[in-house]
Amino acid sequence: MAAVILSRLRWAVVVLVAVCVIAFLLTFIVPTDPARSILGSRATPEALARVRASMGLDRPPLDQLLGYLGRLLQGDLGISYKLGSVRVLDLILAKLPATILLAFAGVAVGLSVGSVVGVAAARRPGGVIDRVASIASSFVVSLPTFLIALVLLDVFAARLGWVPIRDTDFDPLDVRALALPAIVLGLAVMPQYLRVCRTSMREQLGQDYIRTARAKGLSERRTVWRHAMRNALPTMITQAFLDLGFLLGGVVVVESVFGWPGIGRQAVAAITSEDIPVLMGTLLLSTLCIVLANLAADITTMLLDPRTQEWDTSR
Amino acid sequence: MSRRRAADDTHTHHAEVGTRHDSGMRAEADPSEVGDIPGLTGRSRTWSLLRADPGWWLGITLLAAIVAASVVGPLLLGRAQGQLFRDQMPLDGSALPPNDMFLLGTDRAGHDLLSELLYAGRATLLVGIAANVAALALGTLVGLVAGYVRVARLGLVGGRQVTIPVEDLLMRITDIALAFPVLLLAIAVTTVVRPSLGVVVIVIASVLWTTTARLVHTQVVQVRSADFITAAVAMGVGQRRIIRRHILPHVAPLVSVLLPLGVAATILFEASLSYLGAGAPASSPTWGFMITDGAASMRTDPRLPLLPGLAIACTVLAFSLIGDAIESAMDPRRTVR
Repeated sequence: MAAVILSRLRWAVVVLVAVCVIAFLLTFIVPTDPARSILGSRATPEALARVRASMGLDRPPLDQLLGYLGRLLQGDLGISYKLGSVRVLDLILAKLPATILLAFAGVAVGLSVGSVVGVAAARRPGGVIDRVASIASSFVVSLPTFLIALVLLDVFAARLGWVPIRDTDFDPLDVRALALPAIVLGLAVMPQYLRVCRTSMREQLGQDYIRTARAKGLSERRTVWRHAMRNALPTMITQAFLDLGFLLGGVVVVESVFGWPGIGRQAVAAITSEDIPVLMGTLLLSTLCIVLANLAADITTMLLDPRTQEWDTSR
Repeated sequence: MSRRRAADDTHTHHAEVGTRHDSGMRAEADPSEVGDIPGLTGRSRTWSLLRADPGWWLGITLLAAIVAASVVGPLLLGRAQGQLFRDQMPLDGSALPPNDMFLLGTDRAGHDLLSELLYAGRATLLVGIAANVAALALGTLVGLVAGYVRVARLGLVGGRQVTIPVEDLLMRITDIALAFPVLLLAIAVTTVVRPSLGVVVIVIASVLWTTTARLVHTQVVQVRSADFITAAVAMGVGQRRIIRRHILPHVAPLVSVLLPLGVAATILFEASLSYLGAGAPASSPTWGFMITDGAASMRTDPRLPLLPGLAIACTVLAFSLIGDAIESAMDPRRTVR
């Protein structure tokens, strides 16, 4: 087990380095001159050359890459092109808590609603709950998230005034401000938990060991939640970890619609203003989140499903 | 149950397998293939279940109507894409409500909304289907090869062998691709490259194959340690046959469900890209582009963002209904009514 985790960790490092290199290559593809981004379009050639030299941009690419990786190891993500001498790391750390809060709130809403309804639907396929849940989730899943967000904003913020309107300074811990974004995010991820839960639950409920459990007189609740759920769970947990990793890297759309002060909206702004270091920093952080989430998903799957464990330890 | 009865059961079981595999491969007895419907298995079973499913027919009808309207509709209306009717527009800069000349009214710039919606339907369907088919093909191939091949041994010149950890390699590449923040990357790319529908298709396909690869891989991993695979291997069944007869049947339901559902997801993904200003170009707008374009009028004229939203919802719903119908028809526990 420990050996497996160790090998996964090793791979995680490889993935991270690969992504760093690819992100670094992106800066060569992007047709913007960092020196010009910093100094503006009316800078003299001498000033541009001086800035390039001070940033080490006149050195060979491999040199630059090694320098970049070296600075990354020290936790130095560079300095923003646009916001004076602000460190990118500080910019991102300032916005990260809001994103973490939103991501966890959204997944919590989606996972809890999805799994409870999913189990109920799987127990009586074709029943009332199954039909209502399937129609409701078909509807939700058919609409672009940002359209749902725009409509809810229009109704609850603009017309009813229950929640603060976008682009206002608000405290991320204000529940009223968190409610709408979390619900929209929860709605966006809920249908897949519902689907995954219902599908794997139905699959499990058709297995022989469930018939055995029922035949030996176990209560239905115990059969479903203890026996079947244990086998249906790995897929859902994997999904939850992947979602969380993905969302922690920036809830781009929802943050943009609601003006939520997270790293996703900051990154979109950085792309628009060609502030490459901020974009690269966010890309790396997002990647880190996703890699860690993948690792967590793998490990949990192994812990929960002995079959995959067998295969992995046989290596 | 008496011993005799059990013996009878075994006997009929084998007899059935014998008739199903006329090629004489009795070793292929696979409990999940035999099913609970005598004389009706595999493809014909799926079809008869689909034919009895109202959701399937609703989805197919809806999709056929949308495709027909997008393909034929603009020809019937006879208005060029992007054609402006400035002389008809009110002076205060607002959009025209529905009237005899413009069945759904115009947008604020002076385009016929119905005509633009139909043209946008072509672009939306094109992006959705093309990007998803490409993504799905790549993802399935990667997942299948990674899950089953696991390790490849290549003979080198001079009798030496190299071992390639195919599974690790492919799944780690998938991890690297999965680890890239998809939306940010897509925005970054489309702001660098001049956006066109082709670029959008390539960008979406190259970021969306990873989910399929992972799902297919997980499925193969769960199947490959099953007893019937071990039995087949022990009986000397060839690798190709194991993949075709034992692995693929367990992956096929997943893929045939992911195909329509993936189109739905792709259309929604493109809409998000459009909202962030990195989707289809203004010269060939999609529905996502039109929603974004009309979002500012949500309070004053909700028709502008909501009609393209409705179009997306109907299309995505059609694909989802088809996907759901296929999923439940392939469920081995369903019985034919």
